[in-house]
Amino acid sequence: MKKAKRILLVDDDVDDQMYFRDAVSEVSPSLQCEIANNGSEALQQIAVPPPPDLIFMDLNMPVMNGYECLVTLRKMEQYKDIPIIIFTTSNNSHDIAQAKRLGAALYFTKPADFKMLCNKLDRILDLDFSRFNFVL
Amino acid sequence: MTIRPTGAAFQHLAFIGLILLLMGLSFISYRRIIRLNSDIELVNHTNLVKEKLEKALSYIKDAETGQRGFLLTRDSSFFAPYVGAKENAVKLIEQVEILTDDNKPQQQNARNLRVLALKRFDILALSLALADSHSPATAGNLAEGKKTMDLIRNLVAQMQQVENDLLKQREQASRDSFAITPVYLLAFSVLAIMMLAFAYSKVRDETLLRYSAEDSRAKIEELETRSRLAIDAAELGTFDWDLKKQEFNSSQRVLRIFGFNGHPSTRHQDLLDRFHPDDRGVRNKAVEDSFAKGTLAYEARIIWPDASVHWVSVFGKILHSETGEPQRMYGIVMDITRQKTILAELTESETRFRLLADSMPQLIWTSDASGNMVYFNRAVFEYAGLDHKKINNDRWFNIVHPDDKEENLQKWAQAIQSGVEFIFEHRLLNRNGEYRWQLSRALPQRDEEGKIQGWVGTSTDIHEQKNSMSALEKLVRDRTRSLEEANFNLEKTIGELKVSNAELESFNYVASHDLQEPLRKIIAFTGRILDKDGASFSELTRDYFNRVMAAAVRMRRLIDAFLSYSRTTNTNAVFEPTDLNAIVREVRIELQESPDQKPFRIICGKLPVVQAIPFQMHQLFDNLIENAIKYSRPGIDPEINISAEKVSGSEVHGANPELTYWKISVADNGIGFDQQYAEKIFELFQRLHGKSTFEGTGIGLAICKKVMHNHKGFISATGTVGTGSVFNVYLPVGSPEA
Repeated sequence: MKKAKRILLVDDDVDDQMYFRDAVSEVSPSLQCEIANNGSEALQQIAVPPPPDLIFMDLNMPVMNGYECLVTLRKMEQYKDIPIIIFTTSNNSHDIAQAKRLGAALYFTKPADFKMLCNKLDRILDLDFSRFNFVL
Repeated sequence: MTIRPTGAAFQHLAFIGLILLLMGLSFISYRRIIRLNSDIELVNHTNLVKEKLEKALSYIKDAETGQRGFLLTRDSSFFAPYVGAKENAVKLIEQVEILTDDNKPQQQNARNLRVLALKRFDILALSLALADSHSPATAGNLAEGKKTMDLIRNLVAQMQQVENDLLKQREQASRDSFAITPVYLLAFSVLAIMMLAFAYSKVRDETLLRYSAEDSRAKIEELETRSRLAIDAAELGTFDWDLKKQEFNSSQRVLRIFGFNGHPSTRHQDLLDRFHPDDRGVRNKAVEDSFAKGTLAYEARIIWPDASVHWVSVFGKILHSETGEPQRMYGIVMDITRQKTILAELTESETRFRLLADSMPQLIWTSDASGNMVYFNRAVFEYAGLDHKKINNDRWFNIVHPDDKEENLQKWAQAIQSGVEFIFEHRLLNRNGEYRWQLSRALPQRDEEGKIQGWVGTSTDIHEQKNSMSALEKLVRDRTRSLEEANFNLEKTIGELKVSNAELESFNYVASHDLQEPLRKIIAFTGRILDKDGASFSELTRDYFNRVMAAAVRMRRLIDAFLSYSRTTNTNAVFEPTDLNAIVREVRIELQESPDQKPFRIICGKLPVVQAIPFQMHQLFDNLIENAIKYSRPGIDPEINISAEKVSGSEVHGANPELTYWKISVADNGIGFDQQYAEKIFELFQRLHGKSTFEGTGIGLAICKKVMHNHKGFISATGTVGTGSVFNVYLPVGSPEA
């Protein structure tokens, strides 16, 4: 049972955007997937209600990168409960730790395998994020 | 010859004189008082006489009056004055007679007066008697009576005059006495007081003297005690020789020193007999000289009854009489045998030293504690070609090379002051006018208390060595310099390398990362193509796409591995306690999650917690286990055994034999390898199999080796073709710092 209705992907890479969208429609066709090209756009979009149930955040983006956006969102009262999943190419342990520290709910690296991505997505959408404590 | 009285005698005389004076004065005063008294008495006496005369006259007059009255009135009451008057008058006159015994004429007058008085009374009586008889004799009586009365009156007046004159005289005398006597008394008193004061002061002086005398006595007693103690402590014998009476007294100790066991009857001569025959003369001469000098001092040997020889030291002081003749000698005797023995030994020892020193080729010298030269051995003189005079004391530094002289003196002064061993190389001028290098050393000589008594030094000829040494030194110096230069260049190069390395690293990282991007997409979208339309492709097209995929995947793996490798050169990683069990677990989980993973089994024993870089440990086990799985035998599921034990460094090739290591073995049941390649497989990009048989990058084991290098450990492998391989990882126990 998919709980999320709307998700937001924040990523500047158009190929990754497309890839992600394909995976989403494969896993949960009814799921609404919005795209923002960087952290700044993401904030603008979130401001338009309704807010997303889940945010997938890339790290390396122009204008406002993933960390900045993450931190900003965590500080905002109305959005601090939205789970943010860091979704990036880097599998640097430093980045992982940093993300966790800044309040990301999850961290996973972009796989090159479509099937893997779908499995991961599926699992994530099933998760009960209320268990998570990702407040700063 | 005038005899001068001494002070005391003079005092006595003065005292006696004063006493006599006092006595004289008191006698005179006494006499004067008596005189005064008698003068007063005399005055009174005269007044008394006068009084009595008057009274007597008065009585006679009374009698007359009485008679007259009676004759006139025949009243018997006129008898009364008459009756007693005669007796009284006569009595009075008799008294006057007695009183004027000191004035014979007056006394005669008084006698005459008595006679006259009696006559008068007789006449009066007759008159009275005749009164009754109415005889004519009465007129004649009266006339006689009157005549007598006139005579009486005249006589009394005369007597009174005499007495008055006497009175005047005596009164004057008494006045004089009154004047003078107090003066005498005053003089007497004053003198008495003076004498008293004088006596008092003398007594006080006496008392003070007595106190100070007692005080002095106490001090003397104390001094005596102290000197006695000192004499005892120093074990001195004392003697007291009366030169006049030729009496010799000595303390018991003197006798003991001379070897007598306290014989009471030991005589002076007995002591003298003990003197060594050869030293008797010394003693006698010393004694003779002492009479003139006033002091005695000598040392001589004495021989005890047991034939042992002892040395004594004698000191004495002579007390002369007032005439300058020696009267008494007081002295001390000391047994100095021990000192003499020690002195002899010392002299002998010194002689031996000199013999020794003179026989040595080195220059040997000694100085006192202040650094002044005291002794040079023969070699010094021979070397320098100088004699005593020229090289004595301060002139020794004249044979030092001028360039070395200043430092020489300075270092020597330093040594003297600090007490630290003196070492110095300098050039000394020899007899041929050549300067030769010497190594001079001196050590301080300390006494029992650690105080420096002097220095002993040697100078050894090092001329030859110095010359060859300097060649050596030059060589060393040059080498050192070039070494320093090389070092400097090395450091520079290292610096440059570091910079270059850092650049390379970041380049590596960025390149790898940025290279991954497009590659990932190639793989991802090619995959999508195959997913979406793969079924509708021809066999060939599908094959082509698969090859593209495979190539991309290979490239990806290569870049991943490369990235991984470049990361392990990062030396900034922090060592932390790392649980290897957890690492293995993580790796297992990751591999299990990997798609298309072969089934595998890991049997893991208890692994230790080590101080390591967790990420690199992860890389290590990841690579080893992946290899084990990859190089499994066909048809046989890979089984990996991981175990750990402690071993000594001596068992590890290239390890520090003193350290202990954890030996972690990763053993598999795969295809194994030929042992001759055991080293080669760890080299970068070296593979034993083509990529068609086993895909791989050839980086994995190189990464493992790098990781072990970072942890100051080792990795080795043993393989048996067809059976399996064992990879041994050695980690030092304890914390290997980066």
